[in-house]
Amino acid sequence: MRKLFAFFLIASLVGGAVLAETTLSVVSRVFSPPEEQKFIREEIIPLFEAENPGVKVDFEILTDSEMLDKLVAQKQAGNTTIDVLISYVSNFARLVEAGVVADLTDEMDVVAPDRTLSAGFLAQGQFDGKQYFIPFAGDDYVLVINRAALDYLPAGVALDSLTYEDLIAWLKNIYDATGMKAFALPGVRMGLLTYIVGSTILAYGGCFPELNSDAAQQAWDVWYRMYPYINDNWVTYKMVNDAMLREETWIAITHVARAGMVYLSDPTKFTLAPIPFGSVDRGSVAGNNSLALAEYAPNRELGLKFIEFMTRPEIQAKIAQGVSFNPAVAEAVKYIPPGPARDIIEVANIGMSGRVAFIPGPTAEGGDWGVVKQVFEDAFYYICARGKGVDPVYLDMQQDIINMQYLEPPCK
Amino acid sequence: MATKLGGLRTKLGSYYPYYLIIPAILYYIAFWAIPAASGVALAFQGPKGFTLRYFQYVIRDPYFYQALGYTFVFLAISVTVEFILALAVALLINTGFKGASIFLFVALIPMVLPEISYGAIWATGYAQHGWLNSLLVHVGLMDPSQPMAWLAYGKIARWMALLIVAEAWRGLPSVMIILLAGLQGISKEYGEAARIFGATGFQTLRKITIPLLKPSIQTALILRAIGAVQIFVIITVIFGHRNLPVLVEEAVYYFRELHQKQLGAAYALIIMGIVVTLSVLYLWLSGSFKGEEGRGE
Repeated sequence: MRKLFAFFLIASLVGGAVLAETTLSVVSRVFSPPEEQKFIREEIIPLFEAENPGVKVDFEILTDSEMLDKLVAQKQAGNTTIDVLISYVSNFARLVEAGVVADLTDEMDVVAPDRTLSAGFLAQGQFDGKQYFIPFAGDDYVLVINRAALDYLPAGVALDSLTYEDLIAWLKNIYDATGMKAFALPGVRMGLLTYIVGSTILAYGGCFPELNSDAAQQAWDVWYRMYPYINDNWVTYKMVNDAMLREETWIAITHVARAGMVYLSDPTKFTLAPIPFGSVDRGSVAGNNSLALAEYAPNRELGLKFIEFMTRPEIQAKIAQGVSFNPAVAEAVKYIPPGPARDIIEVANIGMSGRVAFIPGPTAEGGDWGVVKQVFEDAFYYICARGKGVDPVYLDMQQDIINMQYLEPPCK
Repeated sequence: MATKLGGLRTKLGSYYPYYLIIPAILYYIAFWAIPAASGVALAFQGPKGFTLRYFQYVIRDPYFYQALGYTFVFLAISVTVEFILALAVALLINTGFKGASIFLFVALIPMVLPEISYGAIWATGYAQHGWLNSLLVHVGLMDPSQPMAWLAYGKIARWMALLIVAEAWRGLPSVMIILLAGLQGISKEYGEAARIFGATGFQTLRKITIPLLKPSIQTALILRAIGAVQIFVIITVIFGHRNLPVLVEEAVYYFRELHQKQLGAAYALIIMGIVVTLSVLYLWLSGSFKGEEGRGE
């Protein structure tokens, strides 16, 4: 009996101590792969907790819609727990409309002092002149290559100046020599395919998201001709890193973080290259992951501190080294020592030196970025997978669906 | 006065069982009835009030018919396959052979796995460099230089077969355990009597075991049919959204990916209608509405 009493006493004391901590609730749509979650929880969050004794960060991964639903439900219930959120550009408008994110215009000196944030990303986080979102990490794309593929690189072609036409020739060489469809394309719905095709459209002089211009038709034709060398399982690849690590594919254009995961697994087996050139330049569709403070954050000051912490150049550099996200803070690169982690960021930045489009969030009432992605995916399935080829009439119809998501066509 | 109080107590006492289920009823109201009613309301909630536009959209949506077709094909084949295999396994275990308990334990493992886990197991299996191809290479059934692309785009029939295999792996134990429970409730004397009268094993199974097992079969089939209509997690894990569209997956796709919640709710309501219809139809066909006398006829 005494032992039982002692147990409950200790348990209640421990429980009391735990309850005495302040819990900062952070929800994120970024860092969803388990490796990335582990890194953030074990390598980044403890640094913040060490700086703020008595504070425990509860880091939770939510999808975009889960995040919005939870914030709205908490607001309606009047019982808010979420302090900070990390969201994606396509959801910014919806979060602002729902009134669940705080205006940080007057807090810029607090959340991002003495650091240079990407101007394009900052602009995307502004609504009616108010700054709601603080850029945190960029989504951009690189080429990741198994070194075995280098044996088949067309003569005279260098990785740094690779074009999409070179890429097709390279994949053909591999296929002719080995029978392998060596290119990995992330084809799962609502995934990265839209951005990869969009990058090609930009490289051929087009605009994003516009899929029916002359430039876009050239880009579609590239994918149509590349399709025979895309691995047959492409449609089930969410992240191509698994396919690359299993070596069932040798070459992929993918998100810098996923490419980094492959490259860092064994830099002697894999290498990186910037996204290829089109007929005009390189192209890149840049996604923007940003931090925001919940409008009804129970720990507002602590939330602001966390945002400041996450945009510190040294923390951004640490995250870049750990999970290869491209820092949104310019000074961060200086803190990344030369080596594989820095290679990834430098290669990604070469890609960003060409024609860059920042993802334009839908503006029409009921407009949805998911619809834009679906249109691009449908077009890829139609043109490439079903072998219909580039069909201007079809593309015009699809563009109309995209334009309906905006008050004004996103590409004029 | 004392008599009156005593009467009240007796009266309250007769309601005693109902008091016991009040917490469960409250739980169901809070976590089932209210969300379900909200879902139903959402499906009819247009910008200007009541509307049927979301159902009209669903009916015009080509993906709906595709999803409906695939759902029913999957339901018909997977439930049949699972039933036949589960019955065979249940009959085997019911013989009580040496090691039957261990066999039963192993056979039940897939049932306890979360859907996402078994989806991941089969997704890695069906990859081009996955464990299935490795196994086939090891047993000499596949040339290692030409691994099979199980998940190649557009091979819908193959995908359906792969889905049925994966789902059978998980669904079989739940059907088997219901059938096994039913088998263990059948007196061995029936079988012995049949053998004395010269019945073969198959005749005993067909004429005695299966008819006596009918209530268990009914339960297992209804549960599996409902489970088959509700399938979607494994499909999204292995094939991704919309590559093999089925009804629930479409509801989730509209609700979560395209943020069209009313359309998702309309899909959910249609699915509920199908599940209820299927259950009622099956109960009617199996004579469950006839009562005890009817069943005995």
